[in-house]
This record gives sequence, structure tokens and C-alpha cells, in this order.
Amino acid sequence: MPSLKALHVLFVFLATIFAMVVGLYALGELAAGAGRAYLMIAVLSLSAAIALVVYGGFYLIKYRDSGWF
Amino acid sequence: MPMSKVLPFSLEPNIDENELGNARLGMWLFLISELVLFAALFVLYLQIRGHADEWPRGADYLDIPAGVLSSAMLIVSSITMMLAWNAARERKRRRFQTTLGLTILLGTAYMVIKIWEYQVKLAAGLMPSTNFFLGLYYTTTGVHVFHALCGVLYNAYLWGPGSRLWDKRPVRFANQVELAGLFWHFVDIVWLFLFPMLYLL
Repeated sequence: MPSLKALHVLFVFLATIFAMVVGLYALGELAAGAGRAYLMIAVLSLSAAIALVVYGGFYLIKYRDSGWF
Repeated sequence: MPMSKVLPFSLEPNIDENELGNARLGMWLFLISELVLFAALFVLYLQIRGHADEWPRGADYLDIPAGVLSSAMLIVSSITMMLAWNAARERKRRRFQTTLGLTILLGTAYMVIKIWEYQVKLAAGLMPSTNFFLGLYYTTTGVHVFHALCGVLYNAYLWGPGSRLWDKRPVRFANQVELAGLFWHFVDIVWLFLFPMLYLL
């Protein structure tokens, strides 16, 4: 059975896609004339996507010896 | 044919000292059953939406910034959960208590935001019976909040009375934290699909 490490890596991958989708959605709303809150959501979401990629890489390197199953 | 040729057996006891194998299998089987529950809710949503003449945008009824904030809390809480598991394995008690405590706080904050969202909607007369969209919103997020509550209670148990095992059986305790982490990650992954479906589409 997959360990928590395996599920965590899947989670980080999905969360990265999620953050990108939310960021792009907010940019779309902004282009359609939505308020400043959407600018903040876009910036924070896209920054979170980058942060998650960095975190995921860091995590994989640090715990490369830990088992997947 | 001698029986030993048919049914191989060993005199060695087949005991998993720290019970990880069986417990992890049990948790995964449980998570698969939970996945079926949420899959049924997703299919229900798609069926109703597919047959509806018109469907509101999520932003018409729901508070997108509040939803994004609660999503961020859940994402961070999964990372702190992972840090708690690593701290338990590395026998760093203070770090374990801090990171698991943060996980509990973030999970609680998520539920508080959800309840606040419910209150605002109900005060505005937006009931589950108002339309199919709101009916599905209350049902799916309600089931999810219930799971988040279970996860928070599970983590709170490990943070409090369950941590008795920290000194007595450290490996087994770390394994229990892993099982709680599997459940918490499942709850968060479900939200990663639920949020876009309800709020963004």
C-alpha cells in the first residue's frame, strides 16, 4: 500500500494544478472587470503554484531515501 | 498428498510488530470506500447539471475569496501534517506538537469559514431547497466538513491523549500519525476537486 509520502507527492502535484487553475480563473475574472480582490487571488495563487513546485522538489530530494510503499 | 504440500505454513509467527502493514491496508480500504461516496456525489452533480436548462455560476451564490482562503488553509495543513509525520519519525517532540497543532488549527479555521459561509447564505434566505445548485452545494460541502471534523478530532487525539505512545512505542506512534496523515490528505484532495466544481465552473 502506498505510504503517506506517495500520497503527499500526489497531493502537491494536484495542489499545484489547483493553484494554477484558481490563478488563471482570477485573471479571467479580472479581465472581465472584477474587483481588486481577484488581482490578489491571481497573484497569490500563481505564487503558491510556484512555491508548491519548489517545495515538491525540495521534499523529493530531502526524503529520497524514504519508501514509497 | 500430505497436507503440508497443499497448505504451506510456517512456525514463525506472522506478526507485524508495529502493525503498519495491516493498519495501512485498512486505512486505504476505508479511503477507497470514502472515494466511492464522494464519486457518487460528483456523478450526482454532473447528472443534475447536465440535465438542467440553466445553471448559475458559482460566483453568483458563493464567496470566492472565502473559498480560496479556506482552500489555502487546507493545502498548508497537509504540508504541516507531513511535517508532523516526519517529526514523529525523527523523534522531535516539540516540532511534532507544533506542526500537528498547526494542522488542527488550520482544519478548524477551514470549518469556521465554512460555517460562516453557511450562516451568511441561510440568513439571506438561500436554503438547500432554493435550487439544485444550492442543494448540491450544501450536501457536498456538508459531507466534506463532516470529514474535516473527523480528521481534526483524529489529529487532536494524537496530539493529546494518543501521544502517550510517544515514549512507550515510538515506531507505532509514528505509524498512527501516518494513518491520520493519509486520511487528512484524502480530505484535502477531495476539496481540490470540490472547490473548482462548485465555485469556479
